[in-house]
Amino acid sequence: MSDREKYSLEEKLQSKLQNHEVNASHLWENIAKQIPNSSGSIWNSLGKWAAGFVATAAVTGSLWFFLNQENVKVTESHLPVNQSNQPIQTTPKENTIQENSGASIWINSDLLALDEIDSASTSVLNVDQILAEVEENSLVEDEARNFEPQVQQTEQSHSITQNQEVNSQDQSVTAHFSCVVSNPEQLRYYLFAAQDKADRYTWILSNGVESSLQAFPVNFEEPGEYSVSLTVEVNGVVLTENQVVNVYRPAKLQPANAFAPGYDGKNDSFDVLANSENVKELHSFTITNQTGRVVFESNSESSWNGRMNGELAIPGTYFWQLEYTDFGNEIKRAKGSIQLFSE
Amino acid sequence: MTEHELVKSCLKGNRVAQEQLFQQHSGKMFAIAIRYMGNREEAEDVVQESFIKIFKNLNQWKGEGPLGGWMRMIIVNTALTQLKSRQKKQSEIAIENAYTVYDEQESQLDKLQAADLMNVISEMPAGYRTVFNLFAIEGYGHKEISENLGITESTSKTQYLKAKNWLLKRINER
Repeated sequence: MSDREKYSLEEKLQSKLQNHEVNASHLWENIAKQIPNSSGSIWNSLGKWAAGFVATAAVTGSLWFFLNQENVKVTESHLPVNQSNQPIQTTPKENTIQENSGASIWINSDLLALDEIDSASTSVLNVDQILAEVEENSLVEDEARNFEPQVQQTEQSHSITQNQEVNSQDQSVTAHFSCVVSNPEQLRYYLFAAQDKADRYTWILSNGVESSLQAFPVNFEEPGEYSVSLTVEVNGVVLTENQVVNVYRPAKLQPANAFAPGYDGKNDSFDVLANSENVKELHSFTITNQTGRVVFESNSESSWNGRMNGELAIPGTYFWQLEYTDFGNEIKRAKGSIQLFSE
Repeated sequence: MTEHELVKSCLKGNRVAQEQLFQQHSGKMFAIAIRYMGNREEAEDVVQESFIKIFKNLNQWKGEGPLGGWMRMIIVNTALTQLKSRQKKQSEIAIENAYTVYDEQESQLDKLQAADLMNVISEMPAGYRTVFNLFAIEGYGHKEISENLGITESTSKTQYLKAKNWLLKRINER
């Protein structure tokens, strides 16, 4: 059995088994009993601050709102920014700002962890604008916005969108919802509404899917942008939120595991992106030898001709590393090995 | 919602988020556990124990790699611990020394469905099933495996060869 064949056995096994699933839903109940939770609404996800808000709201009797943190993102500059509503220029520091009594903005992302923002500093976030908007409409409807759940929301993501929340008379109703990738290969997503125990949930998707559940899975047939609208009704309060969900196929790499430059004119070079699917852009491609020395490096080429300084490299195992973006605009890294055979 | 945000909600104790996270990953994790344990019952224990660990230690996931990878590591480690404690209870199946190389049967593998393959692996002698899983499917190196299991590197390599031969032989018999 040649090296190449041996390698392919493991590859075959991996491709068959690595993503194999066996339904384990029946185990959840038992697990749920043994892990910490906070009962109640999803706004627990806002943790202690949510509680603080409600309490203070009751005292001051003022109109409260906060921007949901879900969609505030910071990215590296080379990623496309398409839906920012407001630029955020704050340092990723926690607790930099003291307790306030006016409007509270709750922004949170992995890079941006502001727990609170004092009303004086809210101008940075254009909050006055939002405040005015909120005062005009006692119930806030989110403006239609591009929301790309799986895509822009990595720690590198740059986009900013906001969800606004009205707390009035101790009661918070939200039409906010989340879209989570459930199975990227099958374009299966999970939608779930943040509002617990609403009297009515009405979901309408641009692909014709409708639902009245708090959470449900959707299989999209094609990649693309879909608009999703959720209307929530709680005690006569009706709120609607619209989001545009970017559904995309994950990148798939299928590089060769061996090549023989200068042999028969075939397999002369190793193209790491040959046969790949859904790779949007290559950032870097590096080949190192077994001692870790860089043999080849490029930020535009995905192909190595097996040469080093013009000379054919010594036959053997080399390692490649790749950095690229997928159609979700996420930066991905991959690595593997390649056998270099001589004639 | 990104993985990070889902995790964040989980850390704050949000039940819906916790269940989401569980439902998203449990299928794969259960499949891994079955591969290591060889039966559903013990695999269920591993999954439960692992997810409890996962939820209690979610704050330790720094978001450097995919969450699935981190979970996979926990599942594999839990399964290995379980296997070690089982090993103490019962003596391992003796492994035959002689083995032949079956290479032409590899093509049979292509025809096999993942579920059938799972069944075959479940029947593999536990003595080398662990090394097989770690090396072939999880992609660990023999060095890592030897350190993890407290065996020598060459044992890991031989065990793997035996596992592979057993597997190919078994597939061929089907």
